[in-house]
Amino acid sequence: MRMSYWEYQGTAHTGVARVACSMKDVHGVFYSPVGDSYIHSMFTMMERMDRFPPITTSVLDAQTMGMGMNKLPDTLRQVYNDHKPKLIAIACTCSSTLLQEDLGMLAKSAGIPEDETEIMVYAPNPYRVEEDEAANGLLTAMTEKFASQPLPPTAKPSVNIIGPISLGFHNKQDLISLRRMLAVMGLEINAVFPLEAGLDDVRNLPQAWATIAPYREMGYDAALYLEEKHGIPAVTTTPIGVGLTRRWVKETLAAVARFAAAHGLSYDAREPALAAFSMDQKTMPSALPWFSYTADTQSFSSRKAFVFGDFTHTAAICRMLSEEMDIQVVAAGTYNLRLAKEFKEAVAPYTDEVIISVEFEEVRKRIAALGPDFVLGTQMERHTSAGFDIPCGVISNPTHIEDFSLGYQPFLGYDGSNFVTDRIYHTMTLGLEKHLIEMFGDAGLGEDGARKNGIGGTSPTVQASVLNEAEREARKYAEAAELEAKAQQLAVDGGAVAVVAVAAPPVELGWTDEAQKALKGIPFFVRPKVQKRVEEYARTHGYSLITLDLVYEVKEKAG
Amino acid sequence: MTITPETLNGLNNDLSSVVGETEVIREDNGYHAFCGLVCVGWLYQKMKDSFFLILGTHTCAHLLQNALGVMIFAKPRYGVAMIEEADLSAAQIDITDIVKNIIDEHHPSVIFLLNSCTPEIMKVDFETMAKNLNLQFNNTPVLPVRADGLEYTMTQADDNVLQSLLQFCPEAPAGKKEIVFLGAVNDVNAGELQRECEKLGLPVAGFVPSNTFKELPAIGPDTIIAPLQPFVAGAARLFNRKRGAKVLESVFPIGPDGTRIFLEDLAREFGKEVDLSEREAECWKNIEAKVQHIRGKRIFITGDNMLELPVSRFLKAAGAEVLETGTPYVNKRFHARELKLLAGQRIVEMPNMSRQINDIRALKPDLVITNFWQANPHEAEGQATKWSTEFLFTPIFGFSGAGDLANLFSRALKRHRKLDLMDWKEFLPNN
Repeated sequence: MRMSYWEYQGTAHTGVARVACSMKDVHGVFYSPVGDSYIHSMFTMMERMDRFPPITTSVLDAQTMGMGMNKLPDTLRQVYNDHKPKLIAIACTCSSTLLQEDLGMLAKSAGIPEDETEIMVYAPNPYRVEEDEAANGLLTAMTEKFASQPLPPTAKPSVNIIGPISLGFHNKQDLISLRRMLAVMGLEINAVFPLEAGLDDVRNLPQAWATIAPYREMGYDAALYLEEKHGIPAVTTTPIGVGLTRRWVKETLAAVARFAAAHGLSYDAREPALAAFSMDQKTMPSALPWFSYTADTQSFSSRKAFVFGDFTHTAAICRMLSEEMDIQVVAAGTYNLRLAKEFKEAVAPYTDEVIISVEFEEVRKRIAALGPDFVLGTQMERHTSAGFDIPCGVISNPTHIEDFSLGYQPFLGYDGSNFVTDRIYHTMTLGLEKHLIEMFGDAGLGEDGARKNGIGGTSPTVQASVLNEAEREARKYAEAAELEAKAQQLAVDGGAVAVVAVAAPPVELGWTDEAQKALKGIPFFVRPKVQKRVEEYARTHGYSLITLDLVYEVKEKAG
Repeated sequence: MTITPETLNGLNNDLSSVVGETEVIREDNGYHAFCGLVCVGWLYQKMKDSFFLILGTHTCAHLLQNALGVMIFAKPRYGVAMIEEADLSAAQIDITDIVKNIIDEHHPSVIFLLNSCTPEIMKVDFETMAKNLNLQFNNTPVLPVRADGLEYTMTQADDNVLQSLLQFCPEAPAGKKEIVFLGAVNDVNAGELQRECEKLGLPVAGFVPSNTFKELPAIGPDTIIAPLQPFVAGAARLFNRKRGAKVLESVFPIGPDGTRIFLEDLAREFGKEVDLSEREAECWKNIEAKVQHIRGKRIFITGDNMLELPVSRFLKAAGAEVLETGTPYVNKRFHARELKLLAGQRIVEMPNMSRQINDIRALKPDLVITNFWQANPHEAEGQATKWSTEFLFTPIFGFSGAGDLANLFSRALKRHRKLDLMDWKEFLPNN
């Protein structure tokens, strides 16, 4: 039992629905109370799906339960008549699973012709398996069921792409990026699964020469199954950042070559010229390397990032920040408990602190304590950071209406490296402006002037909350007033802004007038941070009175 | 076996009934509605010193954050005591610590404890749980409210919340004849209803729910309960049974037509015959710029929150042709006056969603009033839509709310007509 105000992931049936809604001829049927059909709107409103989601609820209610009835066979017949899907996947939800009914038997009694519509009961434990894991598990189960028979390889070298899925973070645009790259590499796409796939695509998975599974939490296990069962090599590298993208290109080519060799087929596995991957076929496919050498990004080396999200994006972006942009990662975390151990190993080279948590308040506490220069996280971290006036860029699900941009914003591949670099840079830009002002006091703008000019931001400390309390209160009321209107819109931000409360320091430290004056000379938005640093130093070195000398001493030592 | 529509037993059905001259068709299965928990979305905002604690699961938490689209910056005044796997086999569910934390952190005047499907199936003894909590925390009442989706849609659970409030309404002495409005409406609508009553010389004791737990109005044998929404039948009945209060039998004060009838009926309770037809005509005139877009239009209401009957009656009065009025539930007695005004209309209770989609494709109405999730797929098929869930978040009551109500439909129709001028057919889905 725990108290929950918000969750990073949905439950298992959301995962099943994401697979069904990705595909052309698969229908999800949920044996559940009527309210569990709330997930429909995630597809039609957030993703702006332009058809009726192929998911149907077979309603479990008190009346039918009392009468010992089950409407599942009726529902299945209606789904069959209306949609003629090739596959119906049946799942329970958290309440109906407790009834432990034999859904397989019930489904059989519907009398639906098997040669037209297959029925598959997929019932992961909703108390153990969350959204991503359920979707991934269904991909594996479908692959095992429909792609177990070997097939002759396609005439031309081809690959499967497993993982892109409905409500996946920028997945549709990732797919465009991957398609562009594979075309340059001379590789055809045998099947994409589950996005835009039909059941026949799943049946045809065994005819590819290699499988690409770029997302660790989605499609990875299906790719490994195809490798083990049919000897189709799996490429599981996530091509985020220039280094990993180039490695992914080479690994994909090598995988196809390996398959060709094993089957006595010919394949030229040479890496295409880099310019061939670029938008204009002339320049470099990613400007990130040159960007990182340019002089204005030198200050990145002193910037501290806090990264939190799913496994795939968080791990890959930590690497990109650290290796390709030389930005410090003060902490990296994920809400994916199941992959915790692997995540720790993945980010160990880039950070000292790893956070594994499904509770956003834990993450908030760490952001407050670490006071990073910027945060890369989920929409929740964006809200948390807004409360602390720390810039934040969104790099991971949970899905949000803003993640479905109209423009081309991939995370994967060389195109993705450019977009992700832009997103990080734009998140940090404010920090750079601050850096200049830090040198010259507040540039004569004063607090109000600075804020008016868009230069704001303070660290999460007592001072910050006092300083901004009036503003926060005003914002809170403004937002509360808007809430009523906003509530009609799905996944639109509302609610009240967090007011940060930081515990009082254990030892009361005194500041001399001189030292205090110096402190006040520091621009307001870095003042709390400097104060915190000086006080921490004083405490660890046993001072109880902070003098001007001590301030300078800290400045000199801490830089 | 061949599948024919005839074998879809239970779907095309015979559960219809007739109220007066109005037939109500009842379908079954395959309907869509939010569960009772969703009422928390507006009730926690209405009652500013309350806390809504849901005994539920991860799914309930995910529902609340998605269905109402409220992303939480800070801790809101609602949350889920989440049943996890280990709790399924526990001897009993204990939420004492969670309630204690809520009291310490939020200092609510009242905690509404809502059940959900899982504890219902687990047969958690909800009433005893609340009773024990009340013994431990005697300064903060913990009120058990049934809100599970096995039995209640979103607005029906609103009714259950209101019922739990009665015990905290002071007793009004016999002879004190005052109006208590029943239903959560916003301050603007509440203020206007009160003003209209004052103009007619009708005394108003207050509203249930009130903005804070402490300002609940007194209710006694001579109180006139004036229901504002079609889904507060249970509370009205309870107030009548427990306190002897009289429940106004009228339509709901939605639209110029409904508001006039409602106020005239209310005045009659105080022995006053008033004629508000001029006031109604003036209101229609005021909103004519919006109504002209509705007049003559063919409208289909798929239904999701029980406000459909009065909205349909308003649309009919505004000159629209309502092809179907779907609604989760019809209470034949409580909705009798509305049903009477809807004589001859097609009304469907617990409508089958799939059947409705097919009918809409065939009928091609000018406007489909439907829930959050169906709107976009209908739009993709070239169908103008309006979110019905918006009725719950828009101040549509009274004469002052009539403009907002008309605007919901006229704006959608106008916008569609304007976009249609772009000749964008090739850019759109299913072109």
